[in-house]
Amino acid sequence: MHLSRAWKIMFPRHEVIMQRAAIDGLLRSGDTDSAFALLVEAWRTAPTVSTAAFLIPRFEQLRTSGRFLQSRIALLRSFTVEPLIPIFRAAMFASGIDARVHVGDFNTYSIEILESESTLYRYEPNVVILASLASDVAPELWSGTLKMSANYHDSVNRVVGHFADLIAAFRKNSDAYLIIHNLEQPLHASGGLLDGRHACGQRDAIAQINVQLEQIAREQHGVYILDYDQLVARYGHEAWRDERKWITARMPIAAGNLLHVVDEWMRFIHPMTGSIAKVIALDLDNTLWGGVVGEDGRDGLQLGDGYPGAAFTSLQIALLALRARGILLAICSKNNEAEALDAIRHHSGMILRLDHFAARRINWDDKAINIVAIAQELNVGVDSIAFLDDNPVEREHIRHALPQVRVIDLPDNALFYARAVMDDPSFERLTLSDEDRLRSTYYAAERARNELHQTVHTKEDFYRSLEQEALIEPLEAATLPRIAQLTQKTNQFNVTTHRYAEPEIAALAANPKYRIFSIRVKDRFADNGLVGVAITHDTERKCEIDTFLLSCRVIGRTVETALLSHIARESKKRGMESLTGAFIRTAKNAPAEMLYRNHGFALTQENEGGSRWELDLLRQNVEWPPWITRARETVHA
Amino acid sequence: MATVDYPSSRNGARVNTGVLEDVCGIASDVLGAGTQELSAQSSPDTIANWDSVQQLYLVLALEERFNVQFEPSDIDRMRTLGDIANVLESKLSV
Repeated sequence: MHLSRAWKIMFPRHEVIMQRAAIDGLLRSGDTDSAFALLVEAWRTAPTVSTAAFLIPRFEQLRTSGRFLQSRIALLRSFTVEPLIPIFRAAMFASGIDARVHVGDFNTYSIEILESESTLYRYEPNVVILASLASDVAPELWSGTLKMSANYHDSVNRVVGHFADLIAAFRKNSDAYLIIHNLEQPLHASGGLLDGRHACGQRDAIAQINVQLEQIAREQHGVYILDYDQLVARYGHEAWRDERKWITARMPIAAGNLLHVVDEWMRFIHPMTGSIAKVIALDLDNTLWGGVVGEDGRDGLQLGDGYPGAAFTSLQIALLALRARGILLAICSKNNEAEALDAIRHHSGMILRLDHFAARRINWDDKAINIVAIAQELNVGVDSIAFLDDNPVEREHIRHALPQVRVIDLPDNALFYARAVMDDPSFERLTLSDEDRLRSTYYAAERARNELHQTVHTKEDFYRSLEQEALIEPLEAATLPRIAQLTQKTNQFNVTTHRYAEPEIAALAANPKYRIFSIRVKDRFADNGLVGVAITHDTERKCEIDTFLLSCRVIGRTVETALLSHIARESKKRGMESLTGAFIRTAKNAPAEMLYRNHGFALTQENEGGSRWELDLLRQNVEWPPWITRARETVHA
Repeated sequence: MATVDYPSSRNGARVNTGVLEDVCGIASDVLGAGTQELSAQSSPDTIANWDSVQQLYLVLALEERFNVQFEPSDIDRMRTLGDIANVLESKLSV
């Protein structure tokens, strides 16, 4: 398992089969937007050799839909790179790039680069990758076959001189980008510990070559070094190579590491093609800090040294590093703004300060709306925004509503949040002012064309995509503790904030005038469990809502509409003529303020402390949201 | 998982149908063949696309999916999808 992909879902085979059938169905129907979205999803969830082989011919079917940037890439090599190509092409297609890849012959790269009429230059590439191995470029250095007393000065000079010649010739013949793999260190120096005891030993020589390569590349425009030695080290020398494939097929990289090479190439391809994020829109609760500020309070947040707060500290440090690269930080979070700002200003563990954020939308609106507002405020395209949120439902919503936003997958474990951000290629920059310098009248025109294909889907599509199923039940012995607990700890979506202990709930349940409902919600991601409570109290012909609350994890998904619809219907069946309710304002319950207004209740009274509302049951009802499936009916007798 | 006899697999051993299904699924992706065309008996003789390059891709896809590494001698024994499933299963059960 690769660490960086450890959270990726490996679907069971039958789900893969269903997903693939759905892709082929969409392609046949001509629904290219949906087909593209599902192809990208397939790559995102299982980026493997096998998936790549399946996806490429399907991505190719979308060529005529005009959504792809065109790019021509040449791969010059000293070893078998062919198995990398399908993975590379699939990764690029998923990033909106349709690349033709030309692969040079084995070890002919010197001639191809030095001769101005070579097949390489006739191909007119946009990007050239030169992937050679230490064992081919400097066999004596790789194997350490010089005598112990010898040093490798000559090898360093020869290798560096050769690369310098190649780079100079390349710049003369082409204005394409050039990416050069540097040299990997061997697992062991042949001299063992002695290797370090004299100047320019084996390891020192390879390190010197790599340093000098960087220097030469820095002096040229558009030439970059891919730190292959560091890439191998990141995943471990031991696990990196497969000697069997090396000996039989000149393929030195183990199957599980092929994707890592491609990911590293993509770090260059993203800034080269201008597919970069300029802004990262950040959730707060359980993303920038551990815990929910509206529930746990500022002092209850996890942030700082030690477990688990250090995970969030690491993320904040990583975000500060992105800011240093010129990426703007923005807050896009569902919180009460005053509480969130208080935590940002005054929590002792905050690394990020309020003035680090270029824009903020802290409210209870749909995050898609807030992202569009942030883009407008910062004067960037929505396709320049990346979105970071621990909540998979929000991520899914943004993927549907704003497919052009780069939604970053976060693993379940917050310890890997910083890693997920640093792994993302859309934050890579080749120079600090790169956007201006993109060789990019070319790419800019391509992008403008692509924007025509961006589509914004509706909220209803999002609600439907959640596949929610709700079960509303009267109080039962088994649910009593959870119901009491929710009345005691729910602060945000809670209209009256009446707190009840278990015996009090039991007493209400025994009173024939009171009714206690709970709602459980399942969606395509998870069973959210019992997430809402309502308590009603009948008086004459009126039914008063004493308590109506939702857990914050299901706010914004119309679950409240389902529960309210059920209560209204049941009250009417009992002969009630109106349904009444109060909103009692607290420091934290702003999210519930619009509940009654949004469902057709009339305002009957209002002051600073809150408001009273009434629904005429003889004339009105509350419609059940059509995208929520009603699990088993329960009649409240 | 059920096991079934596949008389065509070269050593006549029984093949785990779950492993065979996974092998066929991956072979279908890599070789661009429909799953209904593939069986334990499928080989380079019956699948047009299946050349030495595709064989390498198939091996890499299986190694990646199952987190194993095949020996050259293992690969020599892979003449049919049934053979591949057998080799794979012996790797997985070690």
